[in-house]
Amino acid sequence: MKDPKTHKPSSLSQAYRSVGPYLTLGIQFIATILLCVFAGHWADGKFDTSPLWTLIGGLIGIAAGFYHFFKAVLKMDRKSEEDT
Amino acid sequence: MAAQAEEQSSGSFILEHITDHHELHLGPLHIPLPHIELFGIDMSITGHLVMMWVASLLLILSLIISTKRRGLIPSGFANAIEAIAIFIRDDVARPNLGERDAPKYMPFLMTLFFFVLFCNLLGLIPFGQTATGNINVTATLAGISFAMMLGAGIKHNGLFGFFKGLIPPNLPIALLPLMIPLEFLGLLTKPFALCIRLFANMLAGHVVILSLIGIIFILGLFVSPISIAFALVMYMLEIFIGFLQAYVFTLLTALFVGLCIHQEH
Repeated sequence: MKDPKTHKPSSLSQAYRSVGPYLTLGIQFIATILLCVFAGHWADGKFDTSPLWTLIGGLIGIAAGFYHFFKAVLKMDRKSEEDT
Repeated sequence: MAAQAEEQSSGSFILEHITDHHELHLGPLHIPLPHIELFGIDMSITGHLVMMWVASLLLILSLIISTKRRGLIPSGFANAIEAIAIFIRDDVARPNLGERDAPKYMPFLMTLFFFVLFCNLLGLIPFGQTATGNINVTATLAGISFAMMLGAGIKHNGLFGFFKGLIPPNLPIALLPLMIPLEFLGLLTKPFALCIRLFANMLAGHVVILSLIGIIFILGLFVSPISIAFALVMYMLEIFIGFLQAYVFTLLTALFVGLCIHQEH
């Protein structure tokens, strides 16, 4: 058995770990928008205000989606600058 | 007209295979399962639930067998299980959670990995159904991951410290009303994305395999060698995806829990 102290993660898992946060970017971007639109749609059904809350939810979702997207991308940029 | 009806019937045969039922399909045998309603909530035992029980049972049995004969050098099946366990410890838990916290979360991560793996693979054996191809199952799994993220974050940073750590430091106060919901949404979408990823991956593979088989019924028997060959290739890919998605689900859970414990920006 390998000594756990000197064990280095395999290159595949190392690659997966470093790209992990960015693999989720696409799905997370869409998930944020969908979540907000669904919440808005639910609120519209509840208060009978269609389509007000669906639109507001969509706008909040797009804002939040882009915010997290840019945050992750800027972080990636900083990281690659540190590495070089 | 006839072709349209046939198309519809092959479409429904796909749906029949991927949706949940109140009966267990064992080839021609359809075993009815009981309807249970508790406090107005549908708690019926369905095919996917039975598959999860089978997965849990197999998990318990196989892990007991693999750890029963303890030698210094494990052999055969026990060796394979040990290799996976060491892989998760060294490549998933330790890099993401840190040396100190990793042992505490190992049982959770191992259970998650093996349960998702067994559920994925059970869908590939005859008479099996993919419980992880049901969004309710993946949503529950993602919910458990989310509870783990919140629990670990609050335990390590304190209730106030955890939610304060979500917001980037040195932020103008005027921006706070905007940033707090945005950051909180980011916390929510992580498990949502986990749920969608596992569900979509497991569902899509089965739909592709069943569609390739379904082509035979639409175009005729002469395409069967090609479509069966393609379906077999997809089947091999599905085995790989079963392992990969179990790994990705565990890895991302470990990553997110790690991010909640060590909050730095």
